[in-house]
Amino acid sequence: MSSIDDRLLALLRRVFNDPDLVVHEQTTAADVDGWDSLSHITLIADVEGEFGIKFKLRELMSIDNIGDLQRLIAGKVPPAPI
Amino acid sequence: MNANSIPSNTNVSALSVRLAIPADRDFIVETIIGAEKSGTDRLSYCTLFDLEECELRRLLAELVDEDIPGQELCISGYLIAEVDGQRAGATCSWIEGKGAKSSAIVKGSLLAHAFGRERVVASAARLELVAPLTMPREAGALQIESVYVASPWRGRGIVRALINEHLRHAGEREAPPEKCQIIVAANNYAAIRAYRRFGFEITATRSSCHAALAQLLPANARAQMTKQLR
Repeated sequence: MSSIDDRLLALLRRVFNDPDLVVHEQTTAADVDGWDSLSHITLIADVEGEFGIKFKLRELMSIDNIGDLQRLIAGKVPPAPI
Repeated sequence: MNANSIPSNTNVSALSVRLAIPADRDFIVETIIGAEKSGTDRLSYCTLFDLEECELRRLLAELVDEDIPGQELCISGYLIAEVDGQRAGATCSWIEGKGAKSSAIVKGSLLAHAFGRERVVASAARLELVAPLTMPREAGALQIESVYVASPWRGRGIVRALINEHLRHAGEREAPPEKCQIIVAANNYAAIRAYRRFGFEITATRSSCHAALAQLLPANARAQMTKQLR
């Protein structure tokens, strides 16, 4: 199974329609073409669907960059069986 | 009157403008919905996300109660105009943030949370249709949004008074903004004329010729108007 980071990157590339998109922990919405209110709504819904999680509002408000999103997902997704 | 204020022609004798308080919540929801319709019967939140207006009102009330600043779904960003003690109009403003603190991302998070995954996924095709009309806002600029005057009070200088007060508040900040921006439906000619009189000029436009937009939005084109403050 691919890592959370790999699955998130694939999802980001799909949402922002950019197969070559590269992100880092410090990447913010301002760094990605097309990351606006509508695509952000889609992104949140798709992340919740992909990982089978549901964000609380305060969690969404705490996301400043991709690293925050990765850590938030990791904290909600059960560890994969060894 | 400060240097940026708009000359007043208000002919409402008992007009006052004050900061919004939690008790104004329902009027603010009315303001958001009235402004979003922009003189039509099309309410984009409902058409895009397949919501009944009563359900939308409940969700908007919950969101504005959260009072998260930097976007228009927030009580404390509003000024309320009252005539003879009755609420007559309201308008929101904020200083646009950057990145995750931009109004687009803050509001997007709020709407994603309120509407829920299933509804958003079901709306994907409609969201794609309206995406070309998305208008970026300039970080650091004062943003005016959700301009609304209740029908008995229209044409009586209330919008001018509200915007003047927002400009006055912004001018008193430690770092006053250099410009003020407002986004308007491009077919709202009366509003565009009024904002031009207030010193705004059209600085950007977005449009789409997709026929389905006529069922989703008040207009298939939007204009961003800017007033230089310093």
